[in-house]
Amino acid sequence: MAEKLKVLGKSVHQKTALERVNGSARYYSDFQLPGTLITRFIRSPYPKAKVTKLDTEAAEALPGVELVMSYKNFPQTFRDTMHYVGEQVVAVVAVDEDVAEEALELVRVEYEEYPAVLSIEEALAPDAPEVFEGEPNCHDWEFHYYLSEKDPESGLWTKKDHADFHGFGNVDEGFAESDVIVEAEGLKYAYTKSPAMNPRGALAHFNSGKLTVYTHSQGMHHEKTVLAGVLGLNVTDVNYVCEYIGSSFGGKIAEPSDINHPTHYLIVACLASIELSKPVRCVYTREEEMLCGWSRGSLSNVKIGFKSDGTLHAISYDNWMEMGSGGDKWTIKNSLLATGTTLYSRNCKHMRGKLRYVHTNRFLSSGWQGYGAPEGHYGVEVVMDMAAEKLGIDPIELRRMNHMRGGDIDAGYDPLSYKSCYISSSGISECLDALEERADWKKRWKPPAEKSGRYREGLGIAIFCMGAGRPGPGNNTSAEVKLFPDGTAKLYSALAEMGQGQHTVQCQIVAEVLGIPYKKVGLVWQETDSTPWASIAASSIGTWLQSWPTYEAARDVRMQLLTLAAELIGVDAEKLDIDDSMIFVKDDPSRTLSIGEAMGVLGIYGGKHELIGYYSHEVPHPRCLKDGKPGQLYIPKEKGAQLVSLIVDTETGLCHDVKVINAQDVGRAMNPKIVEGQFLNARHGVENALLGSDCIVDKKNGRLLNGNWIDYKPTSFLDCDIDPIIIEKPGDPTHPFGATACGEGAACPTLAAFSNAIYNAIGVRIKETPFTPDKILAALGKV
Amino acid sequence: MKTFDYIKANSLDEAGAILAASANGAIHSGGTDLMGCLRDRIWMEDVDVVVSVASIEELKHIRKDGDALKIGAMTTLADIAASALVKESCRMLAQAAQATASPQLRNVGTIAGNICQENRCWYYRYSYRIGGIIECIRKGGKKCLAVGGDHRYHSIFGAVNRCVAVNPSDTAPALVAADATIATTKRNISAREFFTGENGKSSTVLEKGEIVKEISVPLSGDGVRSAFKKVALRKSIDFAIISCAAQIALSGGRVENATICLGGVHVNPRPMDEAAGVLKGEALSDELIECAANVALEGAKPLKGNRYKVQIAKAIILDTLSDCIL
Ligand SMILES: Cc1cc2nc3c(=O)[nH]c(=O)nc-3n(C[C@H](O)[C@H](O)[C@H](O)COP(=O)(O)OP(=O)(O)OC[C@H]3O[C@@H](n4cnc5c(N)ncnc54)[C@H](O)[C@@H]3O)c2cc1C
Ligand code: SF4
Repeated sequence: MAEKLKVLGKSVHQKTALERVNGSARYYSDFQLPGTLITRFIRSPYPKAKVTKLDTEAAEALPGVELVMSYKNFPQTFRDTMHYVGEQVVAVVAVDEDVAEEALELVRVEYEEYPAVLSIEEALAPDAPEVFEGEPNCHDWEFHYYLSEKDPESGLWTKKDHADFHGFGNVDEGFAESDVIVEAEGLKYAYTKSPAMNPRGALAHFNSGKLTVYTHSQGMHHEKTVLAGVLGLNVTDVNYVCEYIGSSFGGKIAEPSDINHPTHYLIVACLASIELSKPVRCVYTREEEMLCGWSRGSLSNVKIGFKSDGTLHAISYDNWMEMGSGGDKWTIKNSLLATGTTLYSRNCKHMRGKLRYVHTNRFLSSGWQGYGAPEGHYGVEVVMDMAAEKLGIDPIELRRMNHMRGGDIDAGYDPLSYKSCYISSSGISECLDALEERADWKKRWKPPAEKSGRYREGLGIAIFCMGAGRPGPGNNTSAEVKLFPDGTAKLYSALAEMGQGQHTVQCQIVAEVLGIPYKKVGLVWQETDSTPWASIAASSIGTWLQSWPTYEAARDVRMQLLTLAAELIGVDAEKLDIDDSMIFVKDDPSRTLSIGEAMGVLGIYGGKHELIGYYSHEVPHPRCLKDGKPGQLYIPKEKGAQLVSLIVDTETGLCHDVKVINAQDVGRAMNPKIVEGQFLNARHGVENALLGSDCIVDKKNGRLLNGNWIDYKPTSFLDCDIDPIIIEKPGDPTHPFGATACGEGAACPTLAAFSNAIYNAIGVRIKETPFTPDKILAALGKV
Repeated sequence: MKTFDYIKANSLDEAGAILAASANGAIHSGGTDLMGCLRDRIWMEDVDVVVSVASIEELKHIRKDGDALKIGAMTTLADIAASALVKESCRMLAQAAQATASPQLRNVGTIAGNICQENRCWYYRYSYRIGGIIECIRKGGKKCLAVGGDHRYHSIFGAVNRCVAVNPSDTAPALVAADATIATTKRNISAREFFTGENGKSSTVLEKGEIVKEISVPLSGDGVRSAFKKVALRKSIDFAIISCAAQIALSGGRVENATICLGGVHVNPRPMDEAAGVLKGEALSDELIECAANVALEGAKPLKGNRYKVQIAKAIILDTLSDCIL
């Protein structure tokens, strides 16, 4: 490979940009099959109820109705117990919407209503009604581990025992040894929603024993495999087509095997199509998406002990994550990332993290963008700010003293597979430096006591680290690369593209390795039948995980090509290189051979018509091991710092001139424009902080009152300005080109940074998000 | 939504005749509000005919006519916001139109549709798809759920017909403050009389089949200044938490006449006559404006969860009046 990178590091145009801009990109709704049936639901009016009577006869008799589905005929997907307003009771499959809607009115349902719990606080009350009969509402996280016996040489923990909290050391001793202790209780992160533009949906077509599903997915191979199992079909008889996702923000992963998971659009379409042998479409409306899209929210208590010089010593972290009536409990583990296990691993000697997940009679929660990490950061980074004030240390300086560095020990990230790992790189100091300079912090930052007048400026900072990749064994992903005699190549990769630019970057890698222009690399990704297995694009994993098989598959082809060329030129393959689609001898660049010549194609006979490289990547790649030692693993993090500046109007409680500066060390920006685009993820924090985007449920009847995009308000471009600062610190060993992750990170610190900025402006800490005018005015004593 | 006939009318007479012959016809202008109402079935009675009046040319104009500014019912909010004539003779109306929704919605949304739009109470608008409609008083039920429920965006001046939903229109307070007249196919109605929460499902006094034709705004003399302000959470595409329109006529350094109208605080746009009275005959000062703002909110009866709106209302009156002085 050429010494200097030619394609990587350039902001080449995105692979599928043209299709997305000119409207030819096909989202699942663009697939039209003749005779497609459509689906409509009856949804529960009560947060907790049992169906006592269900009469679907009249609906079934309506001409045009093909199938009425309920717990009576499809018990694997429907049930007679309701756990939230909007849970599906009945699905009608009919020839068109009008018929389906008419049929819904003919269905008679009677319910017996039960008392429900509609918030974490209600669910935790001593005599609270149970969400799931016979099961407590609040569960301790089952995978708390206590780490002990640090190996003096490697620094890694060697012993890991089940415990009733996650951590190390002894926090009680830690606090006793601390000079300054700062704590906050009841920090509430509102129940927020992943605001995906394209609502969930699927078109299923079962024909001649084969099922084709047109949908969206962050991991189509995984989904397909689970789906086939649930439906009792061979994996080979199911093809999953996911051309474009229509945005996701971490929430478009189906779990067809779990009745509590909001995957019903998929399973209903498939079951009905199999039953009827006709194409069936099941697509959610915005209102349904606002229920079934993934939510998150939690309550936390944080206590941090410091030495008098500001050295962080001990952390106790309690988190109650609202899980609604189902969803994904694994989310909760990521809340630890912001604690002494990772972000503050540098100095934290005593760590106690106690995680709980709590069921409520609301629609489910699951970890969208940040997967639990934003909730953790909210609590910890708010308390770090309070600590800076108490210690009399600049908030940036306090973080600088304590944040994780490359080589520090990560003791929390993946408690299932490793005891602890090395953090591969950090760069947070550089990010803090950049923010300090960009915001003119030293001049502009003043304590709240020095602010007065109607309009008050506030600056707030928060640092972050997000898990990047799942280091656990069994995490497998593959890629295939084909090279053709005309010097073009094609990458076969199913890694999901949901706006994060992964398709483009993977093609850049192929071009780089093969020494051909980026434009000459094509991509096949659209369906499972024609692509090798790829892991789920989640946990900001794409760059870290998928780059390895793409890189190795491209190197495989490159080696094959150079071996062919070596024979023709008469030198060893190692002596050859490729640049600008030309193979040349490194020591004598005048001796060249084109790719076509090397492949030796002669008409339809002779030579090679394609070279195929393939690589299946098993985590960890040998280069992720410290000195190649098994068990001594480097694991990458997404990391950086974020600064929010705003002006609070103390008469209206509104915030103006909102600016978020996001600085992140990405190791290497493989495509700087795409990296900047990823930093815009901070905008969800803006709606969750300022625009009142909390799932507001009526306290009596449990209905979601703002289940639309007028009352739940995704951020628009006028609401904030996001300023991206890319830091590139080379040398992260976990990626073939030194890139680290860049995905969900920017979403993690935002609510804390807003809380800190508002505090800095008005001198009052608002504990519950969102920070809307009612709360700001109340904090100012004006209500 | 239920199926209905859709008819494009070429004249007001034709539209009137179709509506008269229908059981429950609806008028379609830009459709930006109507579509949502139909799709979510927020009305108790199903609509059988939708008549489009959007292409009736005689309803699209902005012109000076004697001592009034005349705006055709089908004029879009974008055209009003951009009109030099409106900016010059009724600045607050141009500002209100500009503050409405988003560019796309302003391009199709009309002034008639804007003042005839339905309220946005989230109980009333609740989608029938998720467990069925919520039968509140305005839907013929027995209870207002907002009063005992989440009313953060509801009335701070009490109920009309036991309903505390606010009128969401941004141009409505401007039209009231400008003392505009609304001409319909049946009569002329002053803007103050036009809005009513008494009429069951509708926000206006319009009768079945009555169509808004034109809006007439008295031309203001020299020394008259007006302004419109809106407080909303999202900076684009958002309904007002509170809006305010005010007009001040100054003569010899003293206020000769003033009108103030708040939006988003009551079932109807709420003229603040007592507050305006405070200004009359006085020389404007910060203290006077503050006094007017306090007087305006004296009679406020906020609910438990929307007291903050009183403070915002005061602030927005201050800001709007200050903007009139500038
Ligand atoms: C996302 C969104 C955001 C919005 N934001 C705002 C906002 O910030 N501020 C605001 O004020 N509004 C807002 N609106 C509401 C409204 O859609 C627009 O303000 C618009 O002006 C309505 O005009 P239209 O021509 O589209 O009305 P239509 O939808 O055509 O009509 C609205 C109602 O008026 C009736 N009607 C229409 N024309 C006549 C007539 N000539 N005579 C009698 N009745 C008639 C219709 O039957 C219907 O009931 C918003 C709407 C949406 C969907
Ligand atoms: S405020 Fe009016 S519209 Fe809203 S719930 Fe009460 S009665 Fe119904």
